[in-house]
Amino acid sequence: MRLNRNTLFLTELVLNVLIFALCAGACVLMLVRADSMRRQSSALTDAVYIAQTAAETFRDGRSSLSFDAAGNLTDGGGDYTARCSRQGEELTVELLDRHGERIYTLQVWGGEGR
Amino acid sequence: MKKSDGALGVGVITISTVLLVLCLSVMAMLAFSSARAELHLAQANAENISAYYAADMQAHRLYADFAAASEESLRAEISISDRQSLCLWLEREDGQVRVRAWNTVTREAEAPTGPELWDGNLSEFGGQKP
Repeated sequence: MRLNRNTLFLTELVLNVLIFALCAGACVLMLVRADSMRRQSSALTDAVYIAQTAAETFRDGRSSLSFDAAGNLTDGGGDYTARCSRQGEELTVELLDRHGERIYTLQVWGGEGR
Repeated sequence: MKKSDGALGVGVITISTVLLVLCLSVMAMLAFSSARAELHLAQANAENISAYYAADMQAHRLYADFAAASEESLRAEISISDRQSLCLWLEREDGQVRVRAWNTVTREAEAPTGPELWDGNLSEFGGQKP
């Protein structure tokens, strides 16, 4: 009887550990995915803001941001690179992350103002 | 004296594990749904800004065409999204183009259509309004 009770307790313990490990693994995967989405949304929000600022600055010729001859933002110094290019009257601003992957592209009017 | 069976009886660990797993799952699901909503919001914002600048570009083209032509007035509404549009109103005064309006307008949401309610008028039933 004593042996049966101990065996039962041990079986329950092992089963619980297994179930807990499975559920914890699933939860950790979900949290990792959530963290990845949070980083992605944060990067997109930053990229949109920088692209908008870069586009307006480049378009109006104001000096709060500076660009080199190739249209790259030279004083960004952070996690992103803004690349501006003009084709006719269209101004395209591309935001790249530190790995060179494009996060966001914004096309604005780059011709003469109203 | 009776000997104790142990601090934990059979089933206590299972109950604790179930509670723990439940708490973990709820926390993970809340974090996931919050992150997903945040990502959707960021994407919607990015799309909205792209759409605004596309409409702005179209408005600039209309402005350039209007400046080159000889029409007296131009009114246009350029769609940005389902609920927003860019309103453009240009006029020519003494040969100069004058911008009367260049702003975004939000369309009002359609009134909800529901069952027709009684307005308190009894005349249609042959009586008088109290």
